[in-house]
Amino acid sequence: MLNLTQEERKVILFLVAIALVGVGGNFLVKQFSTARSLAFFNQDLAKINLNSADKKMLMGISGIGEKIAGRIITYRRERAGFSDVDELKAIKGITASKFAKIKEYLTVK
Amino acid sequence: MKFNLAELGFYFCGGIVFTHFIRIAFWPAYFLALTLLLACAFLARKDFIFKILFAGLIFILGGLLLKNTYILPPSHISRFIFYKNNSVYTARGFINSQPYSKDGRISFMFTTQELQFNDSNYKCSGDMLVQLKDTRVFSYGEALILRGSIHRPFKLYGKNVSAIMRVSMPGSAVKLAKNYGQPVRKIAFYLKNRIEGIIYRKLSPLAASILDAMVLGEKRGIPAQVYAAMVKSGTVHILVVSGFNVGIVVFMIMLLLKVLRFTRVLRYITAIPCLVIYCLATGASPPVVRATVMAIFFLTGFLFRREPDVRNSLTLSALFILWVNPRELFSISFQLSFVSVAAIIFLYPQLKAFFKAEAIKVRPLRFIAEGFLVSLSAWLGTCGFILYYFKIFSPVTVLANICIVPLATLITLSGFSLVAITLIFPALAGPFAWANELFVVLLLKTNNFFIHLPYACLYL
Repeated sequence: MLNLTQEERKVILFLVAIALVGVGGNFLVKQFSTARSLAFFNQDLAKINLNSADKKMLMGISGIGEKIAGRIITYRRERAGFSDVDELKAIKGITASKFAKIKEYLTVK
Repeated sequence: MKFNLAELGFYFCGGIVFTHFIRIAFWPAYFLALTLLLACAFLARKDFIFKILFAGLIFILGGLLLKNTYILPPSHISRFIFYKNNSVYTARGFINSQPYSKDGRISFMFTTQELQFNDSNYKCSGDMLVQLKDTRVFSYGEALILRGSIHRPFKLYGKNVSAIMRVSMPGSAVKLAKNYGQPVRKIAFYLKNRIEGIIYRKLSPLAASILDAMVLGEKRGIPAQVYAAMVKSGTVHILVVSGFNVGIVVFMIMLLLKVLRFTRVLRYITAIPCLVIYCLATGASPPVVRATVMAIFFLTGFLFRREPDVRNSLTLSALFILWVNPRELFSISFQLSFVSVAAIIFLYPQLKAFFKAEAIKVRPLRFIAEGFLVSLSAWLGTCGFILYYFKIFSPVTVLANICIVPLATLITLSGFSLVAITLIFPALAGPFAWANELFVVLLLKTNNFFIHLPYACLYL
């Protein structure tokens, strides 16, 4: 029946004390934090900035392959950045239907 | 005197069960635990009183841990799902499991970081299951932006899934050039992919699916009829990764390191991280975690020249799993895994003494008799649980296990050999693959024979 030496008792009690502090703290954080305090405003969560995205990030969008991503980067370098998402239409390979599909994932900042 | 960890485990589990069935408030229980802790500290020298107070403290600690898991933070993903809600959600986060692909559908667990719906953005936490229609390859740790519908799961998906996101529109998944994966898990999943690739390349789909389950614990490829037949004969436990597999991994690592002339201490130290990687690669399900913790306990025991205690190691592994997630105590997988091992530890020596198995002089006969008694003890331990959960009673289980377990052992061994040979000398893998095919066919035929015996299994 729980044959513990004095040293073992001290060690286990110390561990239990730490665990209790941890559980209590975690419960407090979960119970008394509010969603409002955690919420923050950022309208462009799902959008990638055309002026800062690298090639790999652009390729993450379905419809943009390596070639088009390369052309976007070249266009950005030549024109010193995009001023509007609509400028993408000027890039070779981005048709009207493709533009309609990808524009909702892109933004210009 | 030896420290009995099993008793601690008993009180801890008692607290979890009590809190599961009886509603208790967190803070009164918490202050009671603090009082007991102080009392234990002051009365540490009074043996009898300390034992009672300490048992109470561990009992309440188990309950508090479970109670804590019931409370979800306000930013948890499940707090943003509303009844009859048709909003389109956009979630940013990363893949937290190995993606599984079948028929153009990919599913994985997704850790959320930000959520956007109804023109507002929220910081978000918690995991959800994602079902995605996409042709691209996704990998663990990859950061994504997903757009789709989120709903609460049906009971079918288990208690660990609090939300399901369906992403069905083309182009609704954006890959971000970031990876949040943990390096150890990345290695584990890479190895898993390599091994799965070898298994499916070298074997027919049926044999590969069975070997995949036995070597890597991946059951999703097994045809439903085969799985149902194994349930009927009570031999479905061979289709999961268990202590035996962990034992094989330890043996193979030790052998390899011995060939490489590593010292004994270095062999033990190297084996431990390898076991952790294997555990992660197989999905860290309760049976694997149990076996891994027990194996680490044993290896550490050897390392420090201490005699490992099987009961203490079993309790330690249970406490480890329950500490991480106390709800596991109510999962079938946890219960069956621990009850079967506990039954073998406690019941088998009693049965062996009762039937006087030691008295059998012919060694092969004694081996068979002992195998029968091991199988009988595991069956006696688990039959109540199987009856309760699956409503099935299989008298043929003990007999079937005596024939099927050695075959399964052979398949697991030859499976590991196939993987090892393919990695070292791919040209020599042919005979191993043929042997695997043969053993799998034998396994299925034997299982079929047993389930067609009269009164092999009864549905309640």
